[in-house]
Amino acid sequence: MSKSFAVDERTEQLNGRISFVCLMLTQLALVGVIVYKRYGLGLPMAEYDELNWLVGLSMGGYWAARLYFNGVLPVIPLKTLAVIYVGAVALIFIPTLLIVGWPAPERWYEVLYPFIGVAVIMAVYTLIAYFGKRRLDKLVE
Amino acid sequence: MKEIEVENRVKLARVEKGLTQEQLADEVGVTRQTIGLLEAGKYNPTLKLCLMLAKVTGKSLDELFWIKGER
Repeated sequence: MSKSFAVDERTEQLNGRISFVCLMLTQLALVGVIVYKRYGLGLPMAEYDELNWLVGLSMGGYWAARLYFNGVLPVIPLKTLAVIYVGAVALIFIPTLLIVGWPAPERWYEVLYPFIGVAVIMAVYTLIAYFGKRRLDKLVE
Repeated sequence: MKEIEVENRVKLARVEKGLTQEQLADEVGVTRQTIGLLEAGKYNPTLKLCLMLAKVTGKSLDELFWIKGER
């Protein structure tokens, strides 16, 4: 075993835990900066848009990878997915419509946001669940 | 998963075999610190490492590791 920079199962386990804590702290710090820029300094979103993307990609990527490699998400049947989709869209669309009302005609596309947003989230979930399960099944075989 | 405490007799087995922590660590492919922590009961090794330790010390897994209170 190399004496200079020895790696074994214990150090790898420890490295994983330390990396997790550091990643969470970094993400929290970034969220803190965004909140400060928005509410503390009152800056418009364009001023910190890259930070939003960075936090979004970091958190999304982390959880997607974690759920994929763990392979623990249940694969939801298509029928159930359709019911959840309709329910989730209704849950967002109807209250928003009642509170905010219809968007101006030149911003008609905003009506599509709940439909597209929920579809994207459910598609990503289904892909992660399906491929995560398939990966584990292959390993078991 | 239920938390269980594992006790071991790695130090005794190592001494019986006439090995230092460093030598045992080299034999099983880990660091000396890992052996030290393992002997002190402050690290739970993987099954792979347990098997390697059993092989090198010439003991069975049962002789080396057991659940606290069951022996």
